[in-house]
Amino acid sequence: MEYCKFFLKRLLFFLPILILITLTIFLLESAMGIPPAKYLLLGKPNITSENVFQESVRLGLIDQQGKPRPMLIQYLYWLKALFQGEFGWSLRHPNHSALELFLTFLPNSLLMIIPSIFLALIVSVLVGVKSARWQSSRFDRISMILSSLGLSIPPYWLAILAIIIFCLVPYRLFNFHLFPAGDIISFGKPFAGSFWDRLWHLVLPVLVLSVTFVATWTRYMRSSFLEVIRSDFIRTALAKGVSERRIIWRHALRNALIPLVTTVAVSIPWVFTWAIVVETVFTYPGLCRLFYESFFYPTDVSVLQMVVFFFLGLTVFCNLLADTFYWWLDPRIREQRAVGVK
Amino acid sequence: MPSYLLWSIFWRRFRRSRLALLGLACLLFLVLAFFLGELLYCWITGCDPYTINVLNRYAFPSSQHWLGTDDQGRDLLARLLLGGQFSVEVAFTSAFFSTLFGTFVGLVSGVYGGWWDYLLMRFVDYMLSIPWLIIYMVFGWLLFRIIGWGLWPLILVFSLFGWMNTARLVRGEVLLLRNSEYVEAARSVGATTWGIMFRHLLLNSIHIILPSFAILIFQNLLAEATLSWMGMGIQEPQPSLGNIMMREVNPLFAPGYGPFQFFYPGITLILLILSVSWLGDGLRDALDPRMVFATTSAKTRDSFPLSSS
Repeated sequence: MEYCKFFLKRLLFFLPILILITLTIFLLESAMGIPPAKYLLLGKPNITSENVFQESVRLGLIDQQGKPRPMLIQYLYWLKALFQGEFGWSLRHPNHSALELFLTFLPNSLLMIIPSIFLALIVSVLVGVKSARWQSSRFDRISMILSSLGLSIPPYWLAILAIIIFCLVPYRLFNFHLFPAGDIISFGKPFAGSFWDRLWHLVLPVLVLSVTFVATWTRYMRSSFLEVIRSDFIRTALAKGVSERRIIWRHALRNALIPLVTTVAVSIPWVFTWAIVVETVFTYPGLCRLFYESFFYPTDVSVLQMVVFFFLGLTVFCNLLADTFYWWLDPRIREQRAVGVK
Repeated sequence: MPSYLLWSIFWRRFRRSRLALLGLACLLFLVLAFFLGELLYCWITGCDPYTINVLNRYAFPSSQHWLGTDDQGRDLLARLLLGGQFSVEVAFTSAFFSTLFGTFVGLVSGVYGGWWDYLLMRFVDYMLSIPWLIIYMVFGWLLFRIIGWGLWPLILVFSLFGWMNTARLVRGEVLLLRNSEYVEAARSVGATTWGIMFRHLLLNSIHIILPSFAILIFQNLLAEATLSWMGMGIQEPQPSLGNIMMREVNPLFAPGYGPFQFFYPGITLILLILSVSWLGDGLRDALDPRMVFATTSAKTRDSFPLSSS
């Protein structure tokens, strides 16, 4: 109940932003010279000179007399069409609607992005705790230098480097397929499409995608762990004679994970963003590559609009998720709100 | 305290960090190489970054072409240096403009407060949570459709959407400084609000502004290279660090070609970004006013409570 109140409050904060987003996209598409509702008709199958009038009236472009309607009315009709699930049709993939493409490509992307988030989370927690525990040791210094390197290597460069090292060199020198250089399943093989085949294709993209986030989150984990380890309850636990392992993995880690989890939730849109270049290099048929390729001629404005809506909605959702995590994991926030201190 | 003494204190503290010095040296070397080395190299070898010679594609390094040639037979080193020049120009110019604007917005928002401050900061919060790469892709593509390709549209997009973080940080610092004694003293002798803003608050938040300027350069270098690599930034035949790498993906799979066109721009870009980030870290540590007292007891502060066990 209390959580519902909190959640509704946050949702009310994001509602104006969602309206602002749709308005911005509508205005941007108008600035390109064509009324946005026309993009919903572009490339639609079975459209003829008779029903184009009917369709235009239905989408609020013109009224029954054929006069163009004002912008505000057009915006409301456009919004109504979007809410009814009408996102337009693709030009690059004829006879497929944007929604259909989106639903086809999204699972592929998630298959790559969710494992890399978890991989990055596990590695960064382990490395962060270890380098904070032995602060300014050799391990700490090396891991910090590696993390600043990982932050400054562009993922597409790393992806091509991974293809050279793990696909090209073993194949050229030993005629051995260590890892595939692209695609999601292999063709013309007896094991094509099986679970292990899919996993084999996922290894390189997942590794490359997680490098940037390992670098970011390790630093975050290290600093939050260092902050927690100096607090009073750790000293109390030490004085009571709790073993060091228990202090690190039970007392300190639980508290150090709270800021990390919220950071991870907020940076999920960033994982999708870097997936654009990783999917492009590995020719992986995912949503992010669909987004990138839709920019090129003939530009799929309807698909672009759909994926941009998805990205922005994801941003809002992840912010809500971070707030929820914070509320759920940190009782201090709940108490403050309940008593009304803040 | 005379101002030169301040700078000597700053330099003494900056000098302590070896990584920051390395970053500064590396950045200076790269920028010199991009702007003077390009002229010098073209003068020595008589190469031109734009001359195409299809018969001499993917040549290996020689005395004529020090790093070999690219996929159209153009000299790779000349293109690399010229591309670095364009990348640095875009990154520094747009970081400068967005720092200017962000500082102004942060100052005004922090000093005046009220509804505008609330709305502005909510807007900034939201814009910061959207990944900048997506904003740059969408707005860059729209802008390129309207005014064409080139350096200036890129600079415009980067500076239009890069000011938010600086504004938020400067506002936070201004809120801290607003009630300090020297601001009150300045007000009591009759200084105007704008005078206080620019003479006192601006100079006292320099330890926020300079590191965020370095972070912006870092971000813009990465963004420019990524957009150019995608084919949505600087366009052929104009070189850029990202755009040289882009052409190398396909020939990698054909036998007999050296991957020079992929390696060298990437390594240059990574060095550039690393040196900027180390320089930024050094600036942040050297300018932070709280560090004055912390430095004396750095050893005791850093000791780990568990290490006794």
